[in-house]
Amino acid sequence: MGERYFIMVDYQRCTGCKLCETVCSLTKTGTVNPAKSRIRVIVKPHIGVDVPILCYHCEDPPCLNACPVGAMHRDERGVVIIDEEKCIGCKACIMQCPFGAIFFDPDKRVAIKCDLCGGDPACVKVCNEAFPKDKVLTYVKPKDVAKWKMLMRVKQIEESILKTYRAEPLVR
Amino acid sequence: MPEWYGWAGTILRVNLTDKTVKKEPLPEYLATQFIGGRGFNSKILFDHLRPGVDPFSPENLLIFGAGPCTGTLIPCSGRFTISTKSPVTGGLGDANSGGHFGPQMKWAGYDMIRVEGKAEKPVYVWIEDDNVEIRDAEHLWGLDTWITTNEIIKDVGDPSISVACIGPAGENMVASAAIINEYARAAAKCGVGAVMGSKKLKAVAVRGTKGIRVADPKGVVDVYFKYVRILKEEDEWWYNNFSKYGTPMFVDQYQGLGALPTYNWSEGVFEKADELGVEKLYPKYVKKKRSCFACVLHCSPFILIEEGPYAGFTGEGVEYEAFTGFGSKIGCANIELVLAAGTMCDRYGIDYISCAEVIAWAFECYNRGILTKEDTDGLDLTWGNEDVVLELIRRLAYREGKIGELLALGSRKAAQKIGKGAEYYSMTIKGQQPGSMDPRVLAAWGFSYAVGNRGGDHLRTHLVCEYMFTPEEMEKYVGTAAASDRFGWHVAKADLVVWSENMRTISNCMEHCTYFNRGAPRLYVEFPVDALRAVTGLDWTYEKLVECAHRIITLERAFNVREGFSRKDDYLPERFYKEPLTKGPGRGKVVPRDHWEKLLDRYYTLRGWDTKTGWPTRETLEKLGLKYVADQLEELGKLPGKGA
Repeated sequence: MGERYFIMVDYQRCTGCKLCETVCSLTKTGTVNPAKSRIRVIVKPHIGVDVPILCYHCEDPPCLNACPVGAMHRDERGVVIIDEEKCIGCKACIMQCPFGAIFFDPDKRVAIKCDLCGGDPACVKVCNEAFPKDKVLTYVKPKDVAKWKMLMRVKQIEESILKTYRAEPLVR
Repeated sequence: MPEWYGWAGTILRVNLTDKTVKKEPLPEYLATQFIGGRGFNSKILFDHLRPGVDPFSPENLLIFGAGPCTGTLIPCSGRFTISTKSPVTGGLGDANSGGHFGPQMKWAGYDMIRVEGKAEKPVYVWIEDDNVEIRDAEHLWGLDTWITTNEIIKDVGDPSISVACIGPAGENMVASAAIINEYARAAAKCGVGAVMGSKKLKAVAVRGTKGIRVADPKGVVDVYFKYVRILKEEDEWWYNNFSKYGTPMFVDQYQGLGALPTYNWSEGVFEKADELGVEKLYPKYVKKKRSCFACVLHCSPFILIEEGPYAGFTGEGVEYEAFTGFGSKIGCANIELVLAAGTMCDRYGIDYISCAEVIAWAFECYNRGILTKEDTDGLDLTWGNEDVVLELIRRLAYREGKIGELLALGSRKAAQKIGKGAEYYSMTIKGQQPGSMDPRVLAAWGFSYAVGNRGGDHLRTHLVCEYMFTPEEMEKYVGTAAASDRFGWHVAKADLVVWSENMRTISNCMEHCTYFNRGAPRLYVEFPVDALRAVTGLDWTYEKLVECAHRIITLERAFNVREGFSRKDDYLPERFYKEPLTKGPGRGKVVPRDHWEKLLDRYYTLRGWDTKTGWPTRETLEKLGLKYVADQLEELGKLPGKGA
């Protein structure tokens, strides 16, 4: 069985630039068209809310369970995939996804979703190039998520302590 | 019809008078000779506006133009230009904005949205791909830009649409009115919002799902990675700091250079600038960073004021210009006031450069006794009195009272109305104030303010290369090393301004952000060529792009010549020639008036314009494929040597 991965999102750091949407549609369809992107960002500039929405490849995917024609499956790496040939465009998966992470292709009239680009997601590469320090999208193994989250929490606490005590290196 | 890559291939014409919508194919020569965005708009304005037309008449056009790269993966390509005949300068007016509006209109299938005529009652235009509706907007009239955007999102039922709208300032046709998209992105200059208000057009909302075809999808991805890396490596200081702090970091930078306009440009350093520095702003008020479409620099801070008299103000993208405008220019040193005023300007739909300019002018006139309490409706405009600033902005937006009516005119017209020597304190060129960098210590930048064809303006050149390029780089790319001393007034400055104007015109036409190419020369000369080749599939070269830029600038100049502009309008406000700075690194510096003439001569010669009048010559116009322009100017008696 292949190593499992998914894309983790840091909502606090997303700036709403939609580079991920752009490169996703470009890679998947050859045109720039966020209406065909597998990742979408909802932006609300006046309240500072930017939410990237994409598939987390659930272990027990409600979308897959809802598909009436067996057009969805999980591959050996745990990636939830739609077979466009079999999809009847009923939108049951879209309704079932708790994150709203499955979309409808307006031309092909089928459901579309993230397939992690076969293990090398374009959105993550483009995003990390633009945000080298504060990663918004991170390609991680599910077993490492808790570790990431812990480190983030530790960093937060570190920052708050450093603010209180002056902890710069001592200079003679 | 050609296969379009990059360009959407359609021009949308919306006539508000008879409520008709027309779609026209994009002519091929427009794409290859005028690239897009600003180039398209300027060409259409010249061809379709009668000389001397009243900017507020139904005949005036309001054009939203996107470029071939808008809405693609090309870094920082989320921009678009709005052009019209400016009520502020009386000449060509355009304003550039970021956000997501440009990309959405491209995805909907349009390179340009050309708004004609004038509605009887308030309307807004809703565009969803091929479906274009002119909708009633009476329920939106009077609302601020944020509520308007929210209401239209509610009407349409989709938060991912993009709305460009005006606030009360635009409705009241205030000179400094802007068009605001995505709540905080402003197409600000030249009073474009006032023209939109005169057309009773409250908003244009758009959702695009058709997408853009690019010639070489893989090539576009390669361009992205290649040039983002060049930006990080060759302009490292800029990338690291700007992506961390955004434009507010310029307060410290320009204070250090002695170029921070203080007390309405009478000084170049502000004694309380520390209060406005990034240390005060971050992290206390900045909750996160935001950005425009496809941006790799994410310069925009999202701010929240949690306590104190300004508690509850949230906003996005309060820029350096607000820090000088509502800070040093009027002698205030309260960062919370700056943030609040910046946000209020966004909500009223005001350009804060022009708004702060007229407020700073009023402050100076008040302190010199030219304006009295009677003129200001009892408000006390003593330097540094921060309590009146928000009230002034409100009165300006609603034209309330005597002072509101006065400020709404913009400083040049207000000064003409007041008289008593007030015009000396209006720091405008062709009626418009430039960005906040003092020309007495930034020579080329100062020169570009004066010759810029939309009036005083820092973005026609965005001349940071004056002090960022090494003399070797200057020699190699601009052709003369003599231009690299920021205090010097060598005639080579004209060469630098010509080069920079060309580079920025290319940026404004392909529509990418001018903050992307700044200190690294390769981003000026190689990036546009590679990006346009990958996107459009046409065989662009650097020389061809420069020729297009020259063509566009000359056409814009011809537009202004038609409106009566000439060499006499290419000067800075008197203060810069007469009053030396008294403090900081620029102590004792003035702009040398006698040298100015030599610079102008050199500039016109390089552009191929007549040195006596500053008008483009027939020879130059014909070389650029603009014979019809020469014929028209000759008919008007505005061709050099022909009845001039």
